Amino acid sequence: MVTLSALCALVGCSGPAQTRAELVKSLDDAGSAVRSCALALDLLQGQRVTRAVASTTLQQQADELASVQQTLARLEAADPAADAERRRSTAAVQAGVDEVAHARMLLSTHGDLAAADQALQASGAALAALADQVQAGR
Amino acid sequence: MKRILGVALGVLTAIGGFLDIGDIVTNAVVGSRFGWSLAWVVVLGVVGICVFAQMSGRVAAVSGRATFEIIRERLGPRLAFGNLSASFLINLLTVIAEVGGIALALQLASSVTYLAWVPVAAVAVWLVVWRVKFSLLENVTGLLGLTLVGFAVALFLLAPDWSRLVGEAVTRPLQHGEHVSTYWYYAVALFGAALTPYEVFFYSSGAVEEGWTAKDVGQSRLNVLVGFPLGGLLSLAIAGCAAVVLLDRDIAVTSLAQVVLPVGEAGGRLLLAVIIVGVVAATFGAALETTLSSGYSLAQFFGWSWGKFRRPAEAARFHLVMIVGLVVAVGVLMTGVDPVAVTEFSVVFSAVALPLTYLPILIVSNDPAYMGEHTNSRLLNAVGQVYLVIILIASLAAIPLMVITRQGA
Repeated sequence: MVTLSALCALVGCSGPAQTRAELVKSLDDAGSAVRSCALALDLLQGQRVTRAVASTTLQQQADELASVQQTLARLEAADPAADAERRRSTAAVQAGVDEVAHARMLLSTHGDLAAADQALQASGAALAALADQVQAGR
Repeated sequence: MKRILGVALGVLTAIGGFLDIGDIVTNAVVGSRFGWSLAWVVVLGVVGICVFAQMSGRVAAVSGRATFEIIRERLGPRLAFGNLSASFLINLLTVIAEVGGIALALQLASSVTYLAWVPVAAVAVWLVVWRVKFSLLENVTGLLGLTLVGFAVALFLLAPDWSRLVGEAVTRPLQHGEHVSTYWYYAVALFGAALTPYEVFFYSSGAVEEGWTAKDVGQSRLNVLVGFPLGGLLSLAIAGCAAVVLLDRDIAVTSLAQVVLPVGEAGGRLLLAVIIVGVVAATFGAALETTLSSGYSLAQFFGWSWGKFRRPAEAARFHLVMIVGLVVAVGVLMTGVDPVAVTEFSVVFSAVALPLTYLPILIVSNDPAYMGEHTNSRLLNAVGQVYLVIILIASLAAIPLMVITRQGA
């Protein structure tokens, strides 16, 4: 028990600071996943990658985003301010999930990928901006 | 002329066979998060694997005995059994990672889910292990793996800021937001990936399979000392591609699909196709090596008949172990576990088991009663001992770093 407590203290697995670190990490992971999808679509439109590679990238990053959502759902906010940050983060990640799902649908139906690419880039930028805000404690 | 061709084939096979899913994924993850600031670990790991692979090959060529026979003799049955248990489990973890790697690479080629490819990959590995001659399986996968040179081509086509990459390699800066413990966690993972124990089990057992004698020591040394460093350059190229394309976009690699995106950006679909062939070949070759290594280690420890130079009926338990290993790999992968996560676990736990593998090799290759005129030189012995200290430190640090960093999160 003592060892476990010491280990927890070492990795910082409690308190508001830890909640904030978890949120930043989740937003970074989600942003990375969304930007990967944007890059894949960008390369596909330039005929630099195959449809199979783009489709696999989107599918794997959708899984990654689902994993981030699970992490956020498990996160317990220590105070109302942290809870508000968690809700903002959850909403931003959900927006990324929606954009990726939309892009996957367009990819499978040979739809207009340029708009999906732009939407993904915007979502990736929003996640990065929110991560910076949470990091700065704003 | 035949001799020169033999040497060239050995070197080319060593280059192509150097990389496996652990190297490919870990180098890409590191490149996307740290640029080339961990390049020194690749160099350290390549020198280490050169030192110990040529030692194990020399021991096998001179004594006609493979690594696990020697480990049991030198450590005694009890300690060697502990070693066997750890090595076998880590090897099994690596089999799972490699079979998963083949499936992921085939998904990239087909967009059919990797879960559908897992049983296909495992059956193909089993068929090759069962039916194909040792030299053929080693040479074909090694030569096809050479197509991973495409990563080096991609890096040049990306026209990176070389001064920045080399600057990162020399000054080793921490990238934005990365913690020093995460840096060291990935240093240990990269070191474990370069020195994976199965490589020496396979190398020494392969020497016995191919009937090496003391006359083959020179060629073995050349294969290792030329082939592995060139293979190491491919590791740096993978990290470089990820650094140039993904790091600047703030994309951290979590999947194999992300690893190949920089290649598409650099060389388009043609180079991408070449790289996917290379990834399939590299992971397939490594799956063969790890599957064989699981059979080798158990059979050599228990004194069973082993080897592909024997008909399967004459080495039934050796072949049964490999079949069971592949069935377990399929079972684990079909649960939906992420093959990339398994790969990351396998390279870290490889680092934990390194001293158990490399200490007996150093002891035996330094024993004149065994090795005669082929005993380690003083210089090589000193290098081997320094490496054992590094290996021990990496081994002790691996688990605490994994806990502290939450597996490099």
